[in-house]
Amino acid sequence: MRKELKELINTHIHGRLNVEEREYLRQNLSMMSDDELTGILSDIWNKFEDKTTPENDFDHLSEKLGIIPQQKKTHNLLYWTRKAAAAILIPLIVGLSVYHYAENKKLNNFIANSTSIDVASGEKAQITLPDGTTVCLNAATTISYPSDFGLKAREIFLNGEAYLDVSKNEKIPFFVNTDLVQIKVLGTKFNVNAYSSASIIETYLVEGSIELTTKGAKPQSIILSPNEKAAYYKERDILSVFKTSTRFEMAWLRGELVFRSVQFSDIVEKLERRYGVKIQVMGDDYNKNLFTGNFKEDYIDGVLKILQLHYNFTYTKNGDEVQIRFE
Amino acid sequence: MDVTKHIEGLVKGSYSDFKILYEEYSPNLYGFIFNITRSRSMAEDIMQETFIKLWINRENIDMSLSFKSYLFKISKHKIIDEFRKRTNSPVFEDYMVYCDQLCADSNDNIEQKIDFDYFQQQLNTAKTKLTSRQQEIFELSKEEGLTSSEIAKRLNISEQTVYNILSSAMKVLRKEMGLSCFLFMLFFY
Repeated sequence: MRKELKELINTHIHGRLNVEEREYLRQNLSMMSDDELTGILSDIWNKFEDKTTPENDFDHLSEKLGIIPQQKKTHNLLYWTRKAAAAILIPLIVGLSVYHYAENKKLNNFIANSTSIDVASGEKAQITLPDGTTVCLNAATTISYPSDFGLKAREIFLNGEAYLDVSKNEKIPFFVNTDLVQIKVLGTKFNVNAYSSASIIETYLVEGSIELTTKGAKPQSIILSPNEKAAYYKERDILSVFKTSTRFEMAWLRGELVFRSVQFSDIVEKLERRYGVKIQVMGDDYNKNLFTGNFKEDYIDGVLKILQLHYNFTYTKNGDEVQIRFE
Repeated sequence: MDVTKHIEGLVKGSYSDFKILYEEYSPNLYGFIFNITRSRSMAEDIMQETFIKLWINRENIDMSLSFKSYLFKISKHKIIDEFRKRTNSPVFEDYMVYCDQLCADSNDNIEQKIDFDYFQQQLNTAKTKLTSRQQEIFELSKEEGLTSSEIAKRLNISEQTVYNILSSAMKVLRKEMGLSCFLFMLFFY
């Protein structure tokens, strides 16, 4: 059987198996240990000579690793103008700041006492708080916390979307504050989507339990169970709970965009954030056609090309500005 | 090419030796992973991750292995994992059937033109033509791999209903996919 399976795997790699062979492989591969499979693949790899050029080149990789060698800069007139401007402006700015600092001592004291992290559109970040809690921040998100965080209280302020893995500490509960919702946590994993510009605040629980309280006209409280999502509709002051799945809710952590029966305007909003672009849409009635689909694209062009298969539009892209025109 | 010399350079942190090794070996590794996963994005991800690992652990390269074997050693977990996932994935099986239909001859490399990523994107687009019920049942069946009776139990409906909805969904998708595939072929041939 082993020899046969090796032959089948070899055929899969160098050509295509037929339906019966695929079924046979499926049924038998699960019984094979990783060690055995490693042996088989290793033999095939050592004899494998084909070459296919990947889409991205070496520069792409070295950029990821941050090892691009510094290129020699050629200095032009503009460069020296900038230098001269800097030589004048920097002392001026420093002087003004010192003046300002003295003037606004109270304000400065406050700023010095809190830490704030901003993530720009098109970017993501991961941070670890002083208590060991890890926070993954989605694009266009700000969090801040006081400098004595963790001593008597654990409290953060969030505008945007974040996934939190809160370290357990039953003595000091952890609070997440957004514009209209407060979430109380003892130690668990959950996602909060609370952009101040959006009409809904969504909280999805992966593990453990959290208590969520709204700060609207009539405060409402709810305790979430895993795989449940609470949605707070800000304008109507309504809080409701849905069952959903981690795969769907946490897609952004994998760099994916997932849409389920959404309007085009919702897609535009997410694309702007994810890719750090400004999108202008022209035409009407485009929101009637709902869209469902997943994207995992590093660049917005890939997404727009797929959307064009569903919608009838043309687009032009100029730097960070995209114009979409519906036919 | 004197591989040993470049590896010794890499161990010392030479950027240019790393680049030479990358250019020599990455197309080979990329091709291998592509043939296993039939996905450009997956091949790219695993290949890059392997070279990132190679660079980060450059001081601890196992010189007793050939360079090719060493590359496999640091990428094999991901490769095996993805190979097992593909083998068990109903969507991947659909993709293979789709390739069979487009070209009966298994040596004709249709997968290079329409890879698994593209197929999944097409499928997602085609899925928008389904009703939400059809879509729900299609996803449970194809993406989570549940059987009809498991779906019936979960949604509290009869197995016959699941079967009916699933077959009507497949009819719509087949029609949709056939069309988009046709467009794609026009574009590439």
